[in-house]
Amino acid sequence: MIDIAPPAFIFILGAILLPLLRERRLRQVFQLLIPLIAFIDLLYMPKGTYWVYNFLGYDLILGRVDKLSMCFGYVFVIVAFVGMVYALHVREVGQHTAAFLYIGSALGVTFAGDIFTLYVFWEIMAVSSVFLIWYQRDKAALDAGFRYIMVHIFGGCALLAGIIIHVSNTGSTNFGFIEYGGLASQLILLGFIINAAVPPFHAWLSDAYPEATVTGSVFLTAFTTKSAVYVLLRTFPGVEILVWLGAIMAVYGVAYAVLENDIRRLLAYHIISQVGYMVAGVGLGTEMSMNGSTAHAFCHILYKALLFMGAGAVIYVTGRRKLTDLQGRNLYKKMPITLSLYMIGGFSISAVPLFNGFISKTMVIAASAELERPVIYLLLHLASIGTFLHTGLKLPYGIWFGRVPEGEKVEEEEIEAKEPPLNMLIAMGMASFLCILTGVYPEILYNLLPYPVHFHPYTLNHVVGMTQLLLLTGAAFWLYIDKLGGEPKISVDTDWFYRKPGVLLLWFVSNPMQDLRLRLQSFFTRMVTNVASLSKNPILLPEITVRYFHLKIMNRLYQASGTYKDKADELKGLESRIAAAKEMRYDENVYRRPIGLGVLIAIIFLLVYGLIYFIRLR
Amino acid sequence: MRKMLKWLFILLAVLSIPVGFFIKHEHAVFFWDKIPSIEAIFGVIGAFLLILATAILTSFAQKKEDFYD
Repeated sequence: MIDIAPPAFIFILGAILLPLLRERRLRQVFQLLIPLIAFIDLLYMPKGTYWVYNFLGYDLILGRVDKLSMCFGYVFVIVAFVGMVYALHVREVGQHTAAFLYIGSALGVTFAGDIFTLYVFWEIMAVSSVFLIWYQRDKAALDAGFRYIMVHIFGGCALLAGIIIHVSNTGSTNFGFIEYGGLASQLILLGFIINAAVPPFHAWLSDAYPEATVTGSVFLTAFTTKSAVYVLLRTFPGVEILVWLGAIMAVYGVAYAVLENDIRRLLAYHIISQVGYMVAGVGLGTEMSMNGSTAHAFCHILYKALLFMGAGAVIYVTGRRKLTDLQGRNLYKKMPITLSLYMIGGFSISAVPLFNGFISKTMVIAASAELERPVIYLLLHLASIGTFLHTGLKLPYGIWFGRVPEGEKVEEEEIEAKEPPLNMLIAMGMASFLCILTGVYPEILYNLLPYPVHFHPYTLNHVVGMTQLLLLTGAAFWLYIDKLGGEPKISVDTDWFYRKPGVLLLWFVSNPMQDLRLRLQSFFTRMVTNVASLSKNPILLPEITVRYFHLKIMNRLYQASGTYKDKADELKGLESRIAAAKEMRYDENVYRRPIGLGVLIAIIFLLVYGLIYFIRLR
Repeated sequence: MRKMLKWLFILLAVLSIPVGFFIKHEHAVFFWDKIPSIEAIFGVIGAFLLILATAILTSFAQKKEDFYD
């Protein structure tokens, strides 16, 4: 028995206790203390399987600790600490509580040893993360958050259905390698790739992340997609379809990023692109590719958090989030530190040598070369070019140096921009330090990877090759700079398929369907009223029926003969007799018969039976 | 500043091309690995392809900001 607690519980406990702390300073200390305690907890967690609890005959495993889960565990806790430093100035306790729950559930997924535990934390992750979007408190955020949770609920349902079929087929709840093929594995894979934002199920990410709060989006970039990569690494290594999906999404992300005017949406598309490398690495299924995916997830979490922190700092200071609103402001003069720190993230994601993207991205690309997959190799290369083109060049140029196109003027007055609060800069500094540290000294990361590493990124060939690729891309950028500026437009993505038909569905439900509902409701209400009225005295039912048909027949006859008006009084009389009959309540003294009704029915039944018997006998 | 960055990039890009002729690929897998400075060619072609893709995507995917409202 070990004395330490599951890291997920440390964060979940933190989420419960945080709102109870009244003193702001104390709360800030607590926000930083929780990730620190979790980090120490990770250091003392031995390899193996523990925290096993029996529930309804199934083993729920909260601690399956090996190199793969530890690598993700470490980076999750590190980014949790960095993110909390970045969010220290935020006074809204709810945001931090949601973040703690989100981080805790992501760690729960990471260390889950069975698929039921995985599923429970998977769902908590979806529900807690949506609050980081909703806390932005504007209509766009509320709508985007609603779409976000709907997509994740759909993914969660697919996952649950897959899990149930898998467990009933195999009897095993073990969260490990799943043979791809058959409905169960396909549903589980669908659940996972929705969270990994694999096209065409990716639009939730680029839709929702840019609408989140400035600090919340930093957490969002780290956990959902990367925990999905982690579960893919566990369950579906070597599945061919993932190679193609990954390579296509790597290019898809960069192709769409170029259209974007919203700075965080542009970065969100690059998450899709970068996760593409990881998914492709999972699909390639070799030790090098799996190491590459893990390493890239680790590095990506750090540099993407840094990029979102940089973009978030600009939004926080200027209140503007679009390139077209930021051009012509010369922000590089007002926010040089933010620019420098952002550029470290930009260089990292672009795989510039000495930055961490270089040591992880090249590993996945090298794995595709090792397996002699030229198309995959070229697609991943193309995505690298696009990444540098947009995140390394277009975005920083647009934000900090952007010029107003000829013929247009900056209409508004000068923005009062300055560097963001110190805690934001410190957080960005920490992420930058880690990006460079792991880039310069990759052994730190390589020692955490699940398989032994036989890859040397710093060969002359790799370094010169990547440098040439980036420099020539940069030269092309300056030549085509006019075509790469932002435009005040939005790009339509696969979310069109549920956003536009969604409006039609809403109209259909609130108009024709609502009308049908009202008609049905009124019909059944009338029926119930009539049955209730008749049930007051069922013995009069034959009489009322006869009188009713009598009325109808007389009505028709008088109408046909043209004496309807003359006989109106007589018809009214008939109507009132029916109404009076309906009002008459059952009174046993009125309907008393010489024999009881039950006996009468029994005698009739015996008579009929006797007659049939007699006829048959003859 | 902008002009300086532009010329710095172009100068470094031009200077990097001859360097490729002195580097030998240790583990050539694909036929193009043997072409000197192939990564530079990839960079130019890739950037061109992406800018082309942008033009194509813009034609049908870019809409007014109130498209969904």
